Amino acid sequence: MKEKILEKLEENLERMVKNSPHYADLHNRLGLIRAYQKKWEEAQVSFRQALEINPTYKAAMTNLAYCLLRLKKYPEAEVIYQKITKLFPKEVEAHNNLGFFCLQAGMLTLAEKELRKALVLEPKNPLFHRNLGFVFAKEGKQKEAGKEFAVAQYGYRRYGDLLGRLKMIITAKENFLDSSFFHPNFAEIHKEIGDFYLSQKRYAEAKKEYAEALLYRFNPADYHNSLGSLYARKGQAKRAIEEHRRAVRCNPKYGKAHINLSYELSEQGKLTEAMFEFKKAIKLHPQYADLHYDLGLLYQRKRQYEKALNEFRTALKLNTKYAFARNSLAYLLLQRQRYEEALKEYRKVLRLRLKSADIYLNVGIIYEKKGQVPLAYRYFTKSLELNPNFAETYPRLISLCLQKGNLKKAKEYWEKYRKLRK
Amino acid sequence: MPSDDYQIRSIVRRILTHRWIDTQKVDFGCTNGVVYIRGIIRSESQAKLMEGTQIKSDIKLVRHIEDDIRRLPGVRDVVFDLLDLKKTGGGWVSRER
Repeated sequence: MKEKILEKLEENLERMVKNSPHYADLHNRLGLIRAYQKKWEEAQVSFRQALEINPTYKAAMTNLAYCLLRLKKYPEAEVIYQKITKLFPKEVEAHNNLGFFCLQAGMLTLAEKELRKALVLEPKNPLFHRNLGFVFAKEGKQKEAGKEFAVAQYGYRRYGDLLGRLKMIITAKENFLDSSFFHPNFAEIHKEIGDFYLSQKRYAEAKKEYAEALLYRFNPADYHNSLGSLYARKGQAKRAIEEHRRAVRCNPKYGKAHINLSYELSEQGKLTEAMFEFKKAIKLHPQYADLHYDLGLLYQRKRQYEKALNEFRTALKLNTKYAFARNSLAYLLLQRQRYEEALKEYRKVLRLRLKSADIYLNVGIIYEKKGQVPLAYRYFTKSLELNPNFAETYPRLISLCLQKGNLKKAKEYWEKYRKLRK
Repeated sequence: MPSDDYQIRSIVRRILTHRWIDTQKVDFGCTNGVVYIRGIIRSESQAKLMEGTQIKSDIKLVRHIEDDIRRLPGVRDVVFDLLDLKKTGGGWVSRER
């Protein structure tokens, strides 16, 4: 289809050129159509004809140079590029193109010279730094090449082009560098690109990158783990569990896979298996406070309260500012009617700036149990200040108001409570 | 009755990952049916593309997440403590740092 359209366009343009042979633009266009069809010899003739009519026609010159490169007529291409750079010294792309194609032709000194000229005009362009890096790498100047690639990488990062940055590293490595020089693990880059695609919801491309990574002796456990995460994101829990299990089988010491597997299992309600995986993950990563917190919640769910308290305490030993774990610990102590300990923990929770109507309500309940009614009243009102729609605080407040004989206030709270319940 | 905090926390985790939240920037917990979320809420793709630029929470995303969590059975309250957003009178506004 595409070829037919191009052929028709070529026929039309040939006719137009015959009718008006003095228009340089028409020759250039005809050349472009021929170049699209990879008819390089014929395209070259058209561009030359355009230049005969207008010798300073920049587009025709650039196109001709490109054609000559495709025909591997490097010296002629070089002459044309030099002509462009002389006529248009500020044509930064021409310097870059000339430099890049000189590099391809193996004319490294000239390539370096042209790329440096391009960099004088645009010193921060990552593409120019990348090409210069290639020149140095081909010359065997590994240090200089690394420096240029690093600058290019920084440039791509600044432009937010992560994919460009990663692809650049891969091209660099595939073409010139030995595997240990630029990046310690080539497969990691494919994985990183895969992760990038995954974050863009481009599943097929992500899967392809992961498979590519596997070819470069990428850790198969990592591959299955990434694939598991991909399925989990897509909501395919069974396949996610399968992949995470494979990851764990490939590498039983792969903590991340154990963690992911335990999360997937618990979402499926398989709590015993999830707990088993959590324990394995904790053995591998005993320093992760988050895992102890999760395990604590799991014990709490299974009514193994002492074990739950121990896990929360371990999480807090690892991270004393872990407000969520402290809050759960305080709540569990309150449930176990260990009011003094619970109050101590709740004070710490509030110092960690974790505030909610529920926390104030619980502190109020503790004071009420201890017989410190004014303090209890204060915390109940604070609870409502934070969230006036928190219905559970109202009965407590009403009861305290009635105890104090404050019927007006009790009625007021009752009305609000009634409205909320409706 | 045993608390369902564990189940709620795992569902919250699923909600966040399904909405492609950058979980490295957000902490969450659940105690007695109250869900606590702290940090910055933004999607992972946004995080990757905006690498190196100022990080901001996505208000629309926060609203969706809040709705999703409030709908969960057993959830009594959702408390957000975001670094760059605060809730005033039911709406979200930028927090001046």
